[in-house]
Amino acid sequence: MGAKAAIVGAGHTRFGALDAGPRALLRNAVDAAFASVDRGAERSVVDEAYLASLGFGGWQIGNSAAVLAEELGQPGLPTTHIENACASGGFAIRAAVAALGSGAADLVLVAGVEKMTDVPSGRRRYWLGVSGDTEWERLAGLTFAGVYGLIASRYLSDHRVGPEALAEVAVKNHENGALNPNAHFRKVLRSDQVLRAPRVADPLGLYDCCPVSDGAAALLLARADLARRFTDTPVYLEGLGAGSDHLAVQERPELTRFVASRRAAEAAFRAADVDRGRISFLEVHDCFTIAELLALEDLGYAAPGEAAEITLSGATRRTGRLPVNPDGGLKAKGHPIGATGVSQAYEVFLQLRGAAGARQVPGATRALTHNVGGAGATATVTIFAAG
Amino acid sequence: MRSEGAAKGLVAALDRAAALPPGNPSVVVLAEMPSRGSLPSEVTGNDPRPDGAVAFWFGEGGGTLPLSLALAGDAPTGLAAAALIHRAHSGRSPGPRWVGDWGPLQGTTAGTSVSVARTLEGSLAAVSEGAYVPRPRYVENLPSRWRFMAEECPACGTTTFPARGRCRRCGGSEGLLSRRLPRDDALVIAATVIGPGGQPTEFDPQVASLGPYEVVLAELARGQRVTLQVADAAPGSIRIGDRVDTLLRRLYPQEGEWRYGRKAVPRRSPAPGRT
Ligand SMILES: [Zn+2]
Repeated sequence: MGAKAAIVGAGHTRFGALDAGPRALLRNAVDAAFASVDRGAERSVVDEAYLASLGFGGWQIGNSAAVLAEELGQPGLPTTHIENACASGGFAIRAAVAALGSGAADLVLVAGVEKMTDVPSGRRRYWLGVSGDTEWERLAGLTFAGVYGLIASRYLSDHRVGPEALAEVAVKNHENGALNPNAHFRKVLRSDQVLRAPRVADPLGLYDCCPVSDGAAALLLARADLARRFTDTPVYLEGLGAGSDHLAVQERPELTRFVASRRAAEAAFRAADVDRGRISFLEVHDCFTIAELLALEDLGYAAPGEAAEITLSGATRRTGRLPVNPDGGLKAKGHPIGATGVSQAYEVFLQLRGAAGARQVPGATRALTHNVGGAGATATVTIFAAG
Repeated sequence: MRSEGAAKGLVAALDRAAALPPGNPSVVVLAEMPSRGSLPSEVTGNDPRPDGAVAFWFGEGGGTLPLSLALAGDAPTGLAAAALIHRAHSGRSPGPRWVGDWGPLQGTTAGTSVSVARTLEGSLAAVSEGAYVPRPRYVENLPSRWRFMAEECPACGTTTFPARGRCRRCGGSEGLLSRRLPRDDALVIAATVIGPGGQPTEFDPQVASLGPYEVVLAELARGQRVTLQVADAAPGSIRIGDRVDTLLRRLYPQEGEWRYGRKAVPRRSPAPGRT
């Protein structure tokens, strides 16, 4: 196995509208990550820390990484803030693996956090649009819901698909979220509720959109050859890929495929040297229901237009042949921006160790995470394997 | 209303209007000029900017906009204008003196457009919570934003829009040729209607006044696309595959002034052979 890094511990707060502020969220996730290390780990042996966060609302946009070192209890530690919008978590993991692979570090902390619900609703909508193209898309009146609305309109039109396929993504992810004690939404949804909800950016309605959530997640990543010092069941990072695309969708030749995701997936599968069929489940970036359909196609699990059919067939349910987002996805689990990519890896850590409880995917041995920044301007794909 | 002399372009006009004490009525008119010499002389001022948008300032006085501007949407001069007030009227003179610009450019006293203008003027002075496009960045982009100026690369033939002084394909920056993309008859590639709460905050006053709006991704020329808000049409009435024209319209206020850009409007006279 060529893996350079492994997860040896992972922690997660609840996602939702929480009382805790960003410092407490970080502290709780980091504490939980250390508590999960089977043979224990001293905080002082962490060599490097990366913080994934957008800085939503304006709380400590600059130098926020120092807060992570403080909450870890190790002020003085080299620490870096990574910001690629909703893909900050995926890119922070990537930076950590690079540090481990270069030999610069043996044990790295990656944490993601966002505190979103304490921001007044007007400012909240302002912040929800800061990561799209501000000079053209935003001046035309679009936030991400609007950009994904444009994309969804084209997808449904190109493939002669009805909104039922979008609704099915929401129904399925809420069903999974109901089994996840950390999820923002733990109630199931019916398809007709999704279809009849008020429109936010037609054809996307309220239940096609992920919620605005607070939350944090943390990972302890060790050099692969040292991982068994910490646990007998590390989760290895077999392949990592990343990519980017034009910031504004108006400059992209195609609206319904994300080049960044495709490039990231190709690189990750090449590095891991595994076939798509050997992945037990996917954690994809379903910020809007349409995004999960695009993800299935961009990751190579469906031909253009086929993701709708596959989803409607039930194949992506937790009990289907290709479970997608067993933790509820961004849609039901919630989407505290900087925490999301880290949270996806947390779910993989549980699932590949058989510790996911009621939502466990039976016999899971490999998993893929897919983390997208905004409407596809940046993306990471990571492939994990049980130790 | 009498003209107080034409300013050089929108920025100069806004500067003049902004220099007035609060409550002093003034009107900034932004006019689109499809060809040189088609505008009345009192509107062209000393900076006709062929092919471009021109801005004027009318200060003082009362009354209504000049007839030529009030009729601008259909005027044979080709003046398709977005005309609006930069500063709220003091209210001491009888009668409203402005037109709204988020509907068709109408007569100056139509009740709805007046109330729209009044509502929005209230927000003009507020610091926008919007994504911040500072004035120099806004001004820098005006050729692409107002006139759809693109750049054609002599090395590889690729057209880059918006213009950025660099070829999108080969990265070349030598000898780029300015090229104007068509403003009308654009093909709608994608369309969405933004419902209440789906808009960026800087569009809150517009939504409060006028409700949901539509946004389209439109293809101006092969491979050259632009995101545009729809005006002069019911939200949802423009669909994928439709063709739209574009007009200069007001977007939202920032730094104490209105920002302008093009919006998509229903195609007024379809070219022969098209549906
Ligand atoms: Zn070139």
